[in-house]
Amino acid sequence: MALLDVSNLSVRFDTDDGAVQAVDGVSLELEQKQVLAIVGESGCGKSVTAMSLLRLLPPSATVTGAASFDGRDLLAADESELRAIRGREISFVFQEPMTSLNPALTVQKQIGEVLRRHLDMSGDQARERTVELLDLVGIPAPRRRLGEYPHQLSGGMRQRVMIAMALACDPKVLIADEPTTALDVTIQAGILDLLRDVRERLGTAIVLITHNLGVVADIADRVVVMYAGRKVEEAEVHELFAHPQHPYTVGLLAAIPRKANGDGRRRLQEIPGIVPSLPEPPPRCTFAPRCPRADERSRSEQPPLREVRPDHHVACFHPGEEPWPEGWRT
Amino acid sequence: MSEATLEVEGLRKHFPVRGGVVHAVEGVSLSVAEGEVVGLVGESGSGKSTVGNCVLRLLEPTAGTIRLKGTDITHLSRRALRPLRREMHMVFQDPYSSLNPRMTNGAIVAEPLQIHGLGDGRNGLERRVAELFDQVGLNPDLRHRYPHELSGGQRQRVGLARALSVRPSLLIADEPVSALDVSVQASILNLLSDLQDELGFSCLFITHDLSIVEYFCDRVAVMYLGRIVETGTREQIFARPQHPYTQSLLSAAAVPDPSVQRSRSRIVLEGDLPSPIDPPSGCAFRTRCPLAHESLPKSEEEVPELRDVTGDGHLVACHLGRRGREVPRVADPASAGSVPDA
Repeated sequence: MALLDVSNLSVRFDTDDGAVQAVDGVSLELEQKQVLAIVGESGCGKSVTAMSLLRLLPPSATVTGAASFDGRDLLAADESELRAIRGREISFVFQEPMTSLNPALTVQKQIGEVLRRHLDMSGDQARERTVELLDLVGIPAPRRRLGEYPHQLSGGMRQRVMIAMALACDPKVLIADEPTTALDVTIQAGILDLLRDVRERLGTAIVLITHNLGVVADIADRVVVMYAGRKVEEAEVHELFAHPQHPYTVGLLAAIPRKANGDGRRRLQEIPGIVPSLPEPPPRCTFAPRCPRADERSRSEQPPLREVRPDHHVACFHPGEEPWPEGWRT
Repeated sequence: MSEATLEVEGLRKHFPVRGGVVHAVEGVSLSVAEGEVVGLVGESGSGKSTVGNCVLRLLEPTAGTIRLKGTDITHLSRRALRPLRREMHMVFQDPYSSLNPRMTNGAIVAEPLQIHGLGDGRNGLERRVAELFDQVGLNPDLRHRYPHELSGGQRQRVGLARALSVRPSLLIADEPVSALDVSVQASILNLLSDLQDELGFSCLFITHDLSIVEYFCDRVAVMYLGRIVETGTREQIFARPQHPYTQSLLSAAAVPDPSVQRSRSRIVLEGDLPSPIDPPSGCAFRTRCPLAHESLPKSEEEVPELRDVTGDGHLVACHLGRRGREVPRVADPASAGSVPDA
């Protein structure tokens, strides 16, 4: 059985401007030691999916479906059960290390709090474990950093402290939401190496939420592509990049700038139109209004996920790797 | 050789702060020829945006000269600069904060035309603005709407229409697509590329994203801690990067292809960017350079000058390179073992 098993998860927000269906019927499985990437552009529901699992969403959110972690039902767990899981068995790393660390606490207090709360450690034990953790995440001279505040650390160091904090209780699952997006590329490379190392050495399974396909290519084992709240494609990482099937995935991969060849710049694939914000899950393909392959069926029926190649699932009536027609517009 | 659109020589910009002086730009020289796109690449804190802001005279340079189409504009008064403002325009990173929220999109695009008296009457102005909207792929009806009613990509198109309204010779684009999703980014890059072919403006493209530089720029200048450490054509920089910093930057950029990405060896830099208040003596990169020990004690004592190492205009500021001797490749034994099976 999968370590984390999410099925048919939906999240709906009731806002002053009406309802928004942020996630619609998403199913995921995360195995031990696996790195599962959830990819998509702003507004596709990837972060909301992850946050709903630990019930970190505001009260305006209604979550339905099922999510079990290690045999326990996450969506039915009460507050005290959740507190025992959050940060201890499933922990989070967020994009903005500056806003997700408490600016008034030193590194030692920041990490020590987690250790004392979840593992009931004494001050001295927590201190020693903090030094170990800082060392683990590659912070040089860890003892010297204990008394420093977040503002005294560089962006890369802050993200390492965040990861150290997330690893404090040796969690089974680490959910990393755009962990390298705010960082420079040379720093990003180091953080990706660190995540890889954490998986190898501690056996932590990782859910990586990102919009960056380079990061996915670097570290993911398996990839889920989301669009407008739905999972539209899922496959093993090499399979997905070599044989993308959903027209959205095909377009996304062709949109990435690559080197100009010869004298001319190659045109990048545009995906005309915008990601819709949907009040209700529509009974059709949500990508149809922007899709060159859409037909009557896509516009009147929701395509189910189906296996089109071995272990490669796509929610599209017209899957295939062929590029978009040149100059196609909505 | 035809006259360069932009020539920057020995540019310095220092900011006095409590506890010292930030050496944001420390002697930068670069030129952008007519119709050329030059990428100014660097990470946060490298000083790349400060260079752009000095060129636009949004910041007063501490030293150095800036020439726009041959005219020294370094110390021109605001009044004397005004007619030349038409020659250079900018597009900023954040399409949410760089457009005036109280003006309609049409008024935002019309403003430069009015300031420079290019309106040709009210009707002429309206017509020109509608043309510009069309040119950047916006429905001209959006002229009557406000920026908050547009998506990020549409706003960046308004920014471009405004910048290009007065037909500048030089466009300074400071991270124009980094706030956008990849599919929207593609449409803005296509648009910039089309407009540049059509209008032939020169462009200083400031970015941290190497894939965009490789896609879009003719020449590249790489900055580290206020200095240009390497400059050359796109082919020179990407095919044979010299400076250890450029080598590591290129090796760190993730390629969207798992087979390729997982078989590359990566140079991971040690440590953090040093403080620009107290930059290292000698070569500013030496505190993180994997090859620094090979050029001791010179690397601690002497600032390396930009030199042509290959004899074809590819300049690098590294003590390990000189005419006829390229900078050695940085091997990275540490990462070779940790790359998982591809």
